[in-house]
Amino acid sequence: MVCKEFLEGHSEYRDGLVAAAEMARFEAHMEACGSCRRYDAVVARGIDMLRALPNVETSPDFQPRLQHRLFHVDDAAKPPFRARQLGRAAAILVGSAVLISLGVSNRVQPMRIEVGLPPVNVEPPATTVAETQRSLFEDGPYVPDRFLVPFAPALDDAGGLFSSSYDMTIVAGDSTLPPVERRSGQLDESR
Amino acid sequence: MDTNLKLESRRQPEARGRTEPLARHELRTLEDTELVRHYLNGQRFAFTEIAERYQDRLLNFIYRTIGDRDRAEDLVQETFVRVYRHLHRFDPERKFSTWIYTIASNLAKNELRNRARNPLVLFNSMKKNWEADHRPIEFEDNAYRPDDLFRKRRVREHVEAAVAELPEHHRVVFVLRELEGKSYEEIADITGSKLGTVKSRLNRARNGFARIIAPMLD
Repeated sequence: MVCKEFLEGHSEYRDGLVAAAEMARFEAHMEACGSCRRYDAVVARGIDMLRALPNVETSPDFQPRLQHRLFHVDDAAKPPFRARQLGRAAAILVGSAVLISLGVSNRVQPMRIEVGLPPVNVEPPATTVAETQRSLFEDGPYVPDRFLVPFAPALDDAGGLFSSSYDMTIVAGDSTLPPVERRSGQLDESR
Repeated sequence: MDTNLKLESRRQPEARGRTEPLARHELRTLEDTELVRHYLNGQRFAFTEIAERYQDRLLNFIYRTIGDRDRAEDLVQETFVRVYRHLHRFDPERKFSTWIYTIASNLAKNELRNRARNPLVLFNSMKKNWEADHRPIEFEDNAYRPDDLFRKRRVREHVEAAVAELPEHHRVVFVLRELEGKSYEEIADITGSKLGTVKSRLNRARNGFARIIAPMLD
């Protein structure tokens, strides 16, 4: 055995991982070579000294600090604060959108509110409306003498678009009937 | 919320009730794998026992690897936090000590890598590692014998410095073998290296260590 071979296989020799025959060769080489013998001694002594070094120990607060960190492990697994804020903001936006859409749909289909109004007293006409209408039908198709046209879009003088309701009165010959206003609801013919 | 209650709340639900609760002194007699099983079954003190069993060993291993005691303690804490997070994924067929040392070793390597981000440090480190791997193994018979009153104290400092001077991947193998008493196979598992690489690195680490320490021993 030469020194190079000894040095390259020294670890396994030292750890007892070579066969018995190889072990004898290593020992024979050390008998003959002072340098390799010294190398073996230096490794052995150096490692003994290394193992004799005082061990470092954890500080007294190691366990409490560790418990504290473990306590927060689950918290750390949660999304970070910024992500949570964004999530909250998104939830608020979605909620707002839902509320707004509900409001819009309510405007499209307004609620029907029934309001009890006091009775309206009017002077009885010379003839009832029914009789007047009947008499009108006898001469031809009934044409009301006054219309209320709601929300009729039109152009104003300046050419702008406006929308309003207006009355249109039709003069029917020499009728003496007061103009009849057609609105939603029914007139009380009993009066 | 009490810490222990919270720790208990992380138990694996499916594993609950499979083992009888044990007292602290009984937990101390258990093997690591048994401790893991008891912890996963809801015995919160089993994890405390694991931490107490390994905290000083890991501290010494990391300290000898990175050479900074305070930072080493931080990394031991981090090791236990990772163990705590992933304990349910631990394969009981494996050796627990190998698993926890693997985590600690990776953290130590990351620490050294982060320090080496400085380009000059990185270059010197690469150069040192390359030379250590490729230089022919040789040992000089140095007859230098300093007669120094402070020799003994200096020898101790020198031993620590000699370990610190080893290239990073030699140092990890050397510390695991000489101070932690790990087998070649365990070291291969911990470092993720081949068995032949472990043997080669250990031999070179011992050679480098002897070269540095020899003048102080004569």
